This record gives sequence, C-alpha cells and structure tokens, in this order.
Amino acid sequence: MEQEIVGFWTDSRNEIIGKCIELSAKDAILEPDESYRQNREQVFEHLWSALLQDMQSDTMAKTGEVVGSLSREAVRYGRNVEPIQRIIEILMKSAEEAARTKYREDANRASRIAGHIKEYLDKTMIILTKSIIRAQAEVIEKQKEYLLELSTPVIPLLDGILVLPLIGTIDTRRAKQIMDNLLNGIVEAQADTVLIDISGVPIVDTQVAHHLIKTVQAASLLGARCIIVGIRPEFAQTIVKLGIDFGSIVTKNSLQAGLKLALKWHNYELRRVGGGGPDASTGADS
Amino acid sequence: MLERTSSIENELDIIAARRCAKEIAKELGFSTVDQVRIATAISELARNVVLYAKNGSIAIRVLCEGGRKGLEILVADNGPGIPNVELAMTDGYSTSGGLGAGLPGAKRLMDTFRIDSKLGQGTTIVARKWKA
Amino acid sequence: MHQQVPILKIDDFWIASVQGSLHDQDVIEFKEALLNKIMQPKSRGLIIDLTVLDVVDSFVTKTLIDIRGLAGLMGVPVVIAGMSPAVAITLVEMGLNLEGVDTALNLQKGLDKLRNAGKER
Repeated sequence: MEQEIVGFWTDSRNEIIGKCIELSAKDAILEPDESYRQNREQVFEHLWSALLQDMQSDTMAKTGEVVGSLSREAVRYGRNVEPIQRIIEILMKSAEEAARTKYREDANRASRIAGHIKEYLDKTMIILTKSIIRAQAEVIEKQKEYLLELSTPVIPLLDGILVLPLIGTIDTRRAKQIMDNLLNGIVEAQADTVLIDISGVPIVDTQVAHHLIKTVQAASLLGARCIIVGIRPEFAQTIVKLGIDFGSIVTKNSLQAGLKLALKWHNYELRRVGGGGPDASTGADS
Repeated sequence: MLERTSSIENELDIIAARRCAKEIAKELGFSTVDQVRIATAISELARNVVLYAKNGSIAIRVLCEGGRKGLEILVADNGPGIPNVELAMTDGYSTSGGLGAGLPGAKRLMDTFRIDSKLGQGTTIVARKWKA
Repeated sequence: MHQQVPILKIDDFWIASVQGSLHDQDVIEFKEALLNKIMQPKSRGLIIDLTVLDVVDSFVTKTLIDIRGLAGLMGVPVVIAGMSPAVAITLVEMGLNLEGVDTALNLQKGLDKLRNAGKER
C-alpha cells in the first residue's frame, strides 16, 4: 500500500512540479510574495523530494527539516508564514490532480492515492505549525537575551565610580545578569564605588530586595562599596514592613545625593568655578 | 555518555575531583561563574565525605536531555549516614566546627539536589546543573 | 604536592598571595604561618591576595574569618584583595558572607586601605 504512493510520487514528479508552477502563478497569496518568486521551483522540488524520502522511510524527518528551515527563515526575517502554508497546499493539490488524471480509469486507486496525499498534507501542516511555534520561541528567547544585555548598562562616571541604572522589572534571571555585568564592570574599571539607581524599578518586593542585597554583598567581596539610590517612599515602607535587613547597605533618596557621597568618599569636591553658568538652577540643590 | 568516577579518600582527592569537574564543565561550555559554582559544590560535598565517611566516590556525568546540556555529580559513601537530613540542610548547622554552609550551600549552587541517607549504611547525593 | 604560600613584607605590611588550589592541610598551615608573621612587633596590617585562587569554599571562608578574628585580637587589620567575580557570586549564593572582613580590588588598593587606616588611628 505504501509502495503504491511511493511509486506514484516518483513517476509523477514532472507532472506534480509542473502543476505546482502553474497553480502558484495564479495564486493570490503566493504570486505577490517576493520571498519565493525566484526559487519557487526549487522550493517545490525540495519539498517533493523530502516527502519522497519520508514516504520510503515512513517517517516525517526529512519533511520536518525542510519545513523547519523554511519557517525558521521566515520567522527570523519577520516575513509572513502564509506563503509556506500555500506552498504545501499547492504541492498536495497538484499531486492530487496528477493522481486523478493518471488513474482516470481506476477510480478506486485514484481515491486511495488521494487519501494518502491528504494524510501527508495533514502531517506536514502539523509539522509547519509546530516549527513556526518553535521558531517564534527561538526568536523570543534571543530577543530576551539582547534585551537583558541592553537593559543593564554599567556606566563609568568618574575615575573609580560606576553608575548602574536599573530600569524595569527584575526577575531572578535578570538579577543574575545584573550581578554578572556589575562585577565584571567593577573589575574592568577597578572601581571602588557603585551607585545603583533603582528609581526605574516599578515594583520592589522581597525578591528584588533580596537580589539587591546579594549584589551589594558580592560587590563588597571584590572591594567595591555600593550606594543604592532612588529609593521611593513605597519601597522604604515595603522594606520596613517585610522586615528586610538592609543593615550595612548605604542608601540615598536621589542619584544626586548618592553622587555627592561618592565624591566625598573619593576626596572629590563639587564646586562651581566662576560665576553662574547658563543653567544656574543646577548644582546647588541638596 | 561521558562519565568519570574518582574515589575520595583524602584532601588531595578533593582538589582532583573539583579540577576534573571544572574541566568537564568548561568543555561543555558552562560560564566561568557556573564552573566555579560546580567546583565549589564538589569541594563541599567531597569534604563531607572525607570528614564524616572517611572514604567514598564522586562520579561526574555529562547529561544531554532534549537539546539541553548539563552536568551531574553523584557522591556516594558507606559512612555512618546523616541522623537528621533536614537539620544537616539547615544553614549554620555543623557537627564539625565548620560554618555549616557545606550542604545547604552546595544545594543553592546547583539546580537540583537530592540527598539519600541511611544510618549506618551511607549517604548518596545527586546534584545537577544545567547549562543556561 | 605540598604548596607553600609565600608571605612577603612591604614596609610593615604582610602580603600573602595565594596561588592555585590549596588543600585543607595547606590552608591550616597557611593560617599558622600568617599568624606567626603578624605576631611580630611592628606588624601594621595583612593583605591576603586571592587573585589567582579559583575556588573558595566554606572551609577557606572559615579560615579567612578565623584569621581576621585572630589578627583583630592582635590589633592587626586584614584586607582580602583581588577576589574574582565568579568566586564572589558563588560565595554570596552559598549564603557565606565575610562580613566584617575588609576587601580591596587589588593589592595596591589593599595597601592604600591599610595605610589610610593606620593614619586614622
């Protein structure tokens, strides 16, 4: 029985591919699509031979590979995935038509073959759906990593002073990334003081507080002192309510106040030279 | 599947075991921090063997599961066993005058940690770390 | 097999650079050797440089805390210098803290710290 479909598939190669080209030229989705205009024939041949191999081995491994790479490419470049679905549908439709033509006299055989083709169409569609989901998950995972890197800059401010502005939610994974980045930044810059600005962190709960404490502890093991700045009243209340021991951690309400303290630690003095500048309102506030 | 077993009888074996684990972790592509985490966990577990059971063994296995790579540490001894595992897993609890951070610390450094101990028969610990 | 940690003296400060991996007996001997050195009169401080130490477990941590405590009794300040990020992260995750132990990014900064501490006193 499997032999029958394999035989048909091999014998009717030219008819099937030919029909595919013909149908796709008229297709409302495929025709205007740029991505497969140049290599459409190749794509059909690829898929055809993958299916042949799978029919012979009774798996869907090869088709999975071809469909997988098509959808990965589409998803990665942000292209529509509908044309891929069309390509599969057209191949199967062409095959079915080829079977009906070939076995005009043998209606039973024609519908048996058509049944097989339908079966393979279903299997391939399932594979397509799965691989699109997988490809999307891969892209999301990658983007997460980019975002993690983007979201934890360690800024060297002055000789020996770093600023770590934290923006957005801090989960365990990001907390680890932050700690990694910060510690390597400290060693790289040989910085003694770090200002951690948490004014951009929307929710500071026990978990976040715990991560902050760990980060400060690790930095202190290296020999760098941290000042946590930008603590809002709600957060201060949370700390007190939860009974979290911020113990020896130095905190300031604003980045400015933290910077002043850091400068003092480093024996710097912030002083305006000459008369008031173009923006006389800054610098002197406390 | 790669697997390396070494016997633990004295302090020198502790260093050999953690060096071996670190090398395997490095080969698998674990980050520097993860390599140190794994080596430190081994150090703690191997020291317990030397301290309490006198001798035992450590096996380090490479794991491959659904595309994920990981490393498994299996520590086994035929020592006296741990009378109260829950207590032994508590921070600061020690019967040897140490910091009491060995077992709970090693657990926190690894992703999964299972401890089986029978009085008079010995202790088995299986801990795993997956590549991030 | 046996490793000895060289203990050097600059001005009145003792400097010990720990190399590679130490096994437990080495660590104990290292502690004894350090305490013997800083017992000498005119010892103004001790720096333990961990730059090339790859693993710091609870045993080494305990020893460092002990050294600091004993040195403190003798009035000698201790600075731990050059700990790597990976080791620091591991210690923090294990829940070990060296609270009360002074740290510095490198030997030079450690020395500066001790000199300043001396001035303040």
